[in-house]
Amino acid sequence: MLSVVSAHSIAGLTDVCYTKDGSHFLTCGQDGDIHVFDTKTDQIEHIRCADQCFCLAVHEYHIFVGTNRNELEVRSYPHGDSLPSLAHFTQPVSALGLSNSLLFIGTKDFKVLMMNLNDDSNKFKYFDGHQAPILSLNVYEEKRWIATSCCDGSVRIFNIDKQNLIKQLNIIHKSNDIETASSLVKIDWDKNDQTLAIPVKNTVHFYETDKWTRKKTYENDSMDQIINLISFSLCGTLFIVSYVNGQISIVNRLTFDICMIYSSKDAVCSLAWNPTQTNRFTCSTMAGEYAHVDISEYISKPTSTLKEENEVENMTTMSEDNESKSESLLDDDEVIKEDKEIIPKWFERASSMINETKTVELQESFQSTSTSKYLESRYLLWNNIGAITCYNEQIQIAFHDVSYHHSITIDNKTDKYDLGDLSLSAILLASSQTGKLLCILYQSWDSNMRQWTINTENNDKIENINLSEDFISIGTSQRLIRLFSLSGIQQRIIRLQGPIISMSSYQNQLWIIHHSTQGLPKEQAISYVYLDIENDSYLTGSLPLTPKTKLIWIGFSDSGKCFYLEKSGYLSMLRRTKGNQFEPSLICNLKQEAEKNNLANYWLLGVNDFDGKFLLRVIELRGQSFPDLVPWPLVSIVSLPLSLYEINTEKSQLESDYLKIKLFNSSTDNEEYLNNERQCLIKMFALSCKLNREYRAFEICQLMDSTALQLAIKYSTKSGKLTLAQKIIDELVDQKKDEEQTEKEIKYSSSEIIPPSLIASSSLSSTISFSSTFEEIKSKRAKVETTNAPFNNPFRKKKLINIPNETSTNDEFSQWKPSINTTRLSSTNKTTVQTDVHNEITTENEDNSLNAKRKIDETENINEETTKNKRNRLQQFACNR
Amino acid sequence: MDIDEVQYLSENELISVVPNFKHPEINLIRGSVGPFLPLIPLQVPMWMAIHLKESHRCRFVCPEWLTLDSVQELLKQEQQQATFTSMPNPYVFILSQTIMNVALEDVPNGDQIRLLMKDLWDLRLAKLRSSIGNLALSGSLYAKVTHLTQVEICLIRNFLKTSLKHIAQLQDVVPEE
Repeated sequence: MLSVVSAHSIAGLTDVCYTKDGSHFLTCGQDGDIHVFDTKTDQIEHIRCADQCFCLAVHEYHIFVGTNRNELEVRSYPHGDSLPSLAHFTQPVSALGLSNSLLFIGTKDFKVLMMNLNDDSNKFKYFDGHQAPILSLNVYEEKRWIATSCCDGSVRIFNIDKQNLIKQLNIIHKSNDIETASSLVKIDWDKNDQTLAIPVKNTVHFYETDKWTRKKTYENDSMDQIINLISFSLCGTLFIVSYVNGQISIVNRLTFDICMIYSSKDAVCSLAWNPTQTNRFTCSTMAGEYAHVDISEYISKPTSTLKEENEVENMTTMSEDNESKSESLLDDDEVIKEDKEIIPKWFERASSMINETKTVELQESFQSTSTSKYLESRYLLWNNIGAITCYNEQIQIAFHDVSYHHSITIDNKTDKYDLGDLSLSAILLASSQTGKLLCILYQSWDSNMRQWTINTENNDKIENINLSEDFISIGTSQRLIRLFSLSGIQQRIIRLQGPIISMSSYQNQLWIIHHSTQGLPKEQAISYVYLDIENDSYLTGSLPLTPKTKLIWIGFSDSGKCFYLEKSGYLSMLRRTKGNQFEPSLICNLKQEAEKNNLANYWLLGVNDFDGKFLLRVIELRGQSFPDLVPWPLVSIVSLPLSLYEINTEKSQLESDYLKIKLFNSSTDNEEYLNNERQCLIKMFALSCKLNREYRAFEICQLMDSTALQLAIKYSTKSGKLTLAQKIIDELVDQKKDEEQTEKEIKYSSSEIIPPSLIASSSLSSTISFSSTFEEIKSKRAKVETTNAPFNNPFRKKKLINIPNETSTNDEFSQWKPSINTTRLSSTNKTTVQTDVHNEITTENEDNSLNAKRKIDETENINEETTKNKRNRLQQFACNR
Repeated sequence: MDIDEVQYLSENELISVVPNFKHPEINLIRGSVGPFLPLIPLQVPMWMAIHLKESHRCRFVCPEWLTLDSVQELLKQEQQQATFTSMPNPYVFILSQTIMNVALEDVPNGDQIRLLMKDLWDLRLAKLRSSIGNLALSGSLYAKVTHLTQVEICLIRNFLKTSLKHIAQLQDVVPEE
């Protein structure tokens, strides 16, 4: 493993070079800084240069830097004072080469030019013919050659003096820009052997310089990764090959014998040899890190002496067979083959093992609903209350309901906030770069000090933040969750098993997703921690993912269920089981559904799942992968079917509707809910009858309550399925009645001691406590009558299939009304068990009973209300107060 | 009926807006509007939309027919056909004018669309003029024109009426041979 040192905060192309005397080395990276390191004293000097730096070269008293300002900037060395820039282009400089006093510049606007630094005339010499951005260039000054690799798929060799093209080799992979190029194609001259080494896919081609024919090829059979760069050691016995997966191989120049393999998380994109200690080189990675490697031990290896001899032989054969090139080529190949056999078998295996055990790339932490942090203008958050956007170094907090609060703009030049959260009482902003946390209590009565800040210490980076009802939580790079109260009192520090991915909260429940130990090969393993701050409960579990995907959204639905979305489009839910555990279940595939509607994807904002309805608030994405800031996106509300098989058939659609009712109900004693369920079951029943599937119809009947059973019997007799009707009457009706009767009895008996809804108060059964807290909230909120389409009951709009029965349906319902409030559903057996359990519990903690009774009153009131008028489910979604 | 009246009538058309406030349903003579919920698009009459927009309480949702693509398509069809093409809305010109005046920032490529609408308008007026000329020259008793928008009818009505009257008077005076 490469022992890397982090130097630049932003990942991306990082360049490294040495001063001529080897006393310092410099790195530059995508964060726009240049670091000057003293090789002896480890002193570091930072030079702030631009927003991004792509490449650099150092010459006596000057540093030349290619920056995003599309110019070749010049800084004084070693202090970094700004000097007038040398040249301006239309695109950034992408490659620099320095040879004595000649500076070669390759740019993204297809130019390669040369200037003589000793000559004051500032005259440029151009090397024309490039048709794409320049990837790299390398000078062979003794021969007056310069080789360039270009995104147009060519490697060109020019004569420096005549500026004419000597040879063009169309061998590398074409791309349209450096960022999209599969390889950086950093070429190098082998000055001992007079060859030019070019990385081509997973091989290195060596071209001899007389006729520019391919002399030999280096290939490691066990590696199929693309090679980024090749560099020959100054001593001339080894070369270094770097792969895009982060592996670097130190290879003997002649025998192609792999001396050592280093692996790192990120690809090595630049490499510089120490000019004084020729056995050492420094490389930089795509993550903005650098590493020193010492190769002296590989040079003095006994095997390499063997190769020295080979080398001599080789040279002699070369000189002898100069006339017959082809033969010498063959010879060379043979030599290589022979040498390959010298490599011990175990070594090859070992190297392949290193490849396999390479760690999986763990996904970075993210805030749900924030867009990519690499965008210049982006969303930090979009929730029910408002949206936080970041553009032009400004943070804007816009509230959806402007009557609640006007929008707020905060300058972001110095603090660089890149994380944000918003609740009804506070705004939370944090910066992962500066480690600053800002909390604005915008609804506080204390009008003097409405905000407070805190800074992280000891290199702790803020990765994730979250605002709950009463507390603030911060996830840091040290795998800690720090809890604060809203006013800034530090409360708790919770440790996590792995790096945090994301977190979300609902009221005072916190759901934290983090990486856990190594998963299956090449896949990440993700776990969650579920904290209930009020009830002081702590649950953990692992989060199942579809193969080779990552999380892109997590969050609570409006009724407090945990949902998570994967990049592959799968939306899953953690369902509470009766045993207070979480069962992860797949709900639907957003991406597939979006593609059905000719959209690229849905950008998920939230889930509304009240009373058997399942509505997603999304932004429709057409073509782009993130929603734009301008024009302000439109929120649409979509109802997607569950991802069942054959969802286009009526049967699957009804099943999906029924499952939705079952999965997303919050209160089972709601009349509307019961009606919905009955309607759905009757529809399913009718459909199976139509299709003459009586066994299935009978199975559906087993799910029904007695009211629906009557309808089913009626329907089946009318449609001539007498055997079915008889079977239902014989087997199910009495059974159902008995069940309901026993249930009623249990209810009454238990209500004498404690009414069943007291269960709600007991902290052990959180499922029900959820619903009860919900009812409270609902009762607080203003009730609005809606006729607006998206929130209506989906069944209202559809016509019943069994139209002949429709009028009678109503009659039946009214007749059965007395039993409705007390009837429970099909799963009566289970409920009885549950109530029994709770009887025991509740007798134990009777302290709660006072509290609970108040709750019961409220819930009962609500039940009455719901029977009177149809309640609107929207309050949860709308920001209210 | 003059242009102002057409303008007035056009404001009864429905348009979707995204409100940024909360308000229960409003019952109007023509039907109920609402409830208003932040960020949920809903259909309101134009006059209400204008009022809400001017008090910064909503954003317009650009109608389907007012996107750059659809206007370009309309213009293309109008250019290709000798007769009038059907417009997506009888008040298309007035409505687009109103939306552009009130909420130009809510219409993507608003300036380009404004130019295209102007082209479309000019093209249709030219067609109208030439067809009136043809009618007068041919001396036929009637001409059938389809797909005219309200404002166009309104614009030519007075002119056509008086000019036909003059023609009739002149024809009466000229003795028949």
